[in-house]
Amino acid sequence: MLRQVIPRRAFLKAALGLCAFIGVFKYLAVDRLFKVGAASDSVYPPEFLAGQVIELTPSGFVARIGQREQTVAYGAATRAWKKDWQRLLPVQIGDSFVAWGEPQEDGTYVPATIYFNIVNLYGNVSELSVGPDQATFAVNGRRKATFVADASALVDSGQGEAAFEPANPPFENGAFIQVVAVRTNNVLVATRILV
Amino acid sequence: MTIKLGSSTWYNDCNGSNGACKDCDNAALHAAYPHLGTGCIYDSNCSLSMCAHSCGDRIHVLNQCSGGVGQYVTIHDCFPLQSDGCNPPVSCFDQNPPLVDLTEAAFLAIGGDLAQGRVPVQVVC
Repeated sequence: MLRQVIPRRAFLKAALGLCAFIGVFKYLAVDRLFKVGAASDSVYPPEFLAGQVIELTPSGFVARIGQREQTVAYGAATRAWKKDWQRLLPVQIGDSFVAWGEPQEDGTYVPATIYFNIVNLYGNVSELSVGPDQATFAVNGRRKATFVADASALVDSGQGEAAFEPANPPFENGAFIQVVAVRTNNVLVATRILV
Repeated sequence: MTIKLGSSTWYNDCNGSNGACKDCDNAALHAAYPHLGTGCIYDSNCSLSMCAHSCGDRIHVLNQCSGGVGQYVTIHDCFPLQSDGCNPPVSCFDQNPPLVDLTEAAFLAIGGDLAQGRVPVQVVC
């Protein structure tokens, strides 16, 4: 049937043209556009948003992003973190946030995932102080910060997760650890400790 | 082309005009890398085995979990700390010393979970 509609010579010509197009596209796309090591301009993904909550609304909040304001509306599938993953978050004015989601045509932003007051630091432990209910310690990395950890924190040793034992922490002064924490009333409460 | 296996963490200390290259930005797909030609080299074993790069160079970071999301990121800072060697992770949950530190935007772009803190990656440099 095809042979009757498209002459053989025209068919071969079209096929050769397609192959040439694919070859040129592959050359441009892989070897030129995406060359590793080549200097390139910065990319700012539109899905990313970070700022501070300045006003609460029925569907989310208004945020300050640098010098501008942005309306953020929770979607049905929004996942939110503030120490734990929660559906209904006690968000407060002044909370900082980091989100990955979708800017909408009406100007609002709907986060797929949003983190409030999250902190991450890795470095060497110092000033370790233990107690029956909580331990405090400083981490010296890009900056120095003091953390509080209680039994709600998880310890990840690479061999699995376990609850943090304040009286018997799995590290000593000088150890290299990473801490993910939530900032609550200017206290950094550890949620996950990687040792 | 060199492929390195290790972990990636995230950081949010960039303000658009700081970092080793004086232009790192939390909202951009930027990375802190341990072996910059500008003289920033951390850790004698791991970092020296990674390719030397300059500010603005592009590397590819592939999340080895979460379905293997990859992203090109550009180097705008120097990775500050490595505790020991850069042994490759053996599973999605292994926590080896990080090879590269990503901005929040870059970490989320490869499907990382900020609350987990670290993700195993393959870095092509």
